[in-house]
Amino acid sequence: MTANPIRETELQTLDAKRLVQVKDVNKRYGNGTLALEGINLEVREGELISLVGPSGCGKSTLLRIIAGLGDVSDGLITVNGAAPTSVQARGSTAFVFQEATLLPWRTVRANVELPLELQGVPKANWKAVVDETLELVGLNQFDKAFPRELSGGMRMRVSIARALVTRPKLILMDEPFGALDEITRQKLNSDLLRLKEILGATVIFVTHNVFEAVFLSSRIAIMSARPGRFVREVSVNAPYPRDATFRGSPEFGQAVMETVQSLEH
Amino acid sequence: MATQKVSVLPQISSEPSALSKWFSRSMPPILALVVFLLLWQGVILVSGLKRFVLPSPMDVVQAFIEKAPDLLEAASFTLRSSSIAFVLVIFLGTALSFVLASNKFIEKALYPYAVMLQSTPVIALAPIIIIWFGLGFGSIVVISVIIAIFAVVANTTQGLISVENNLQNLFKLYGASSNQTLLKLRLPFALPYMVTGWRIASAQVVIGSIVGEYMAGAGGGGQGGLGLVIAASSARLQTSYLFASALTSALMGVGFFLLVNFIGHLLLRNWHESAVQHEN
Repeated sequence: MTANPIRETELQTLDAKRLVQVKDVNKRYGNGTLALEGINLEVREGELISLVGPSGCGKSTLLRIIAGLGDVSDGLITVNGAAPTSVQARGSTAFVFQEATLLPWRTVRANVELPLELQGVPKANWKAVVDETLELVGLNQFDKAFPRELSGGMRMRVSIARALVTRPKLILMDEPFGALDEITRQKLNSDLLRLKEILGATVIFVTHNVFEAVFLSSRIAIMSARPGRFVREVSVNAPYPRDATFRGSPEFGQAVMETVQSLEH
Repeated sequence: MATQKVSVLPQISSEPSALSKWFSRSMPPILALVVFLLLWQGVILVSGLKRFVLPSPMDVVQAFIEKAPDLLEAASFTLRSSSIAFVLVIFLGTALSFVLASNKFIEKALYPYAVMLQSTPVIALAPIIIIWFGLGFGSIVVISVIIAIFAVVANTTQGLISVENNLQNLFKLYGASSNQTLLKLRLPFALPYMVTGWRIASAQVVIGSIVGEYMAGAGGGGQGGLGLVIAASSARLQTSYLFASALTSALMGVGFFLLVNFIGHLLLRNWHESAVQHEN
């Protein structure tokens, strides 16, 4: 039987669009504790997927491994078609930490310039992209401020601007809004969706907040602890763009319910 | 009535003048000084102690004025050895800290000896230093360096090893070179710690120089700093002069400290809590 040529091309395109592939990954700590077991995950370009689970389920560990900040014990990970520690993967990835993790001696602008500086982008090219990025996160009025002069929410905006300034294909976010109050968190959730839409990035988002995960994600991977493994995946069947009214919709409630039930297992 | 607030501190709403600010800050220590001087004078009047045992405040002031040229010359000599020692302490201390912070093994291997050196009284080391460097300037500077260097090493090392892990990860993720990480992360991160070390060392080099001059200052060809003046006036029971020298030493130490403090403030004023002026 001859393969359908159109189908063949489609498959190849799909394959190329798999930005992150995690295959049969186990992670053992130095003391022998099994932190991750049998992890399989594929993230396609443009997706926003959340990893949800109780503390100690290894979701941050998995994110760090995808970022190339830790090794796997068994299994294989590719990011943008290469090993996570490769230039090809790192050049297209950004990481947002739980804390804003800014350099306190630098102004907002200089903090956002940092990735360009470290990657050796010519100085002449900084201003336009930094201006644009600060505008996107709503901080263009604050470019000369120092981090200590800003609120927690604004610091996190700087941190996000810093991640976006290289226009990464993949953004890894490790509970970035966990330390913020609920109102600020919801505002930043909406802003994140807007930014993702504009820049077309792929996001892997770690959180233990079910509402946040449902609001943001197209897919939610639910993890259990000790050893950390995927127990279920919940799809959120609501199209983007989403705004605050989504929180009152039946799809939202349905996805929250499914996620909470899966977490109880 | 009892609850009425008697405060010279200006209220937040009113704009305090520079003069009243200065007054509110300087008044308490000045008051304490006046009380202290009165008590001192009182003790002399009541006890009738001899002048060579306890001179009166006026005797000290008199000696201070009479001997001002000598004291100034001695102070400038001490200032010279202190300054040289301070520069050496910063360079050697910082370099040593980088070695200690570069490698956990080296740190573990050397740190106990740094502590040991710090805990050894300088009086036990002075004779060895004098044998090696001779009486005079060289030994004075070496003694001063030995006394002050630990503060710089301990603080700078602490700063270099305290860099937040995620900041290091951030630099790693963007492929920073080790030079970039050093200059753009570790050094600025350690700066507040380093400034603390400099502050402590700034007072200690002055003490170290005076102690050095006291023990090794005789060989300077008749030249000597405050330590030598103290040794000489002590031998001659010139107690007022001794007090005046001690006072000069203290003023010099404070001056040196304030200078270093000011430099530290300039370096950190924009961003570090220790140097930032809070509005509330």
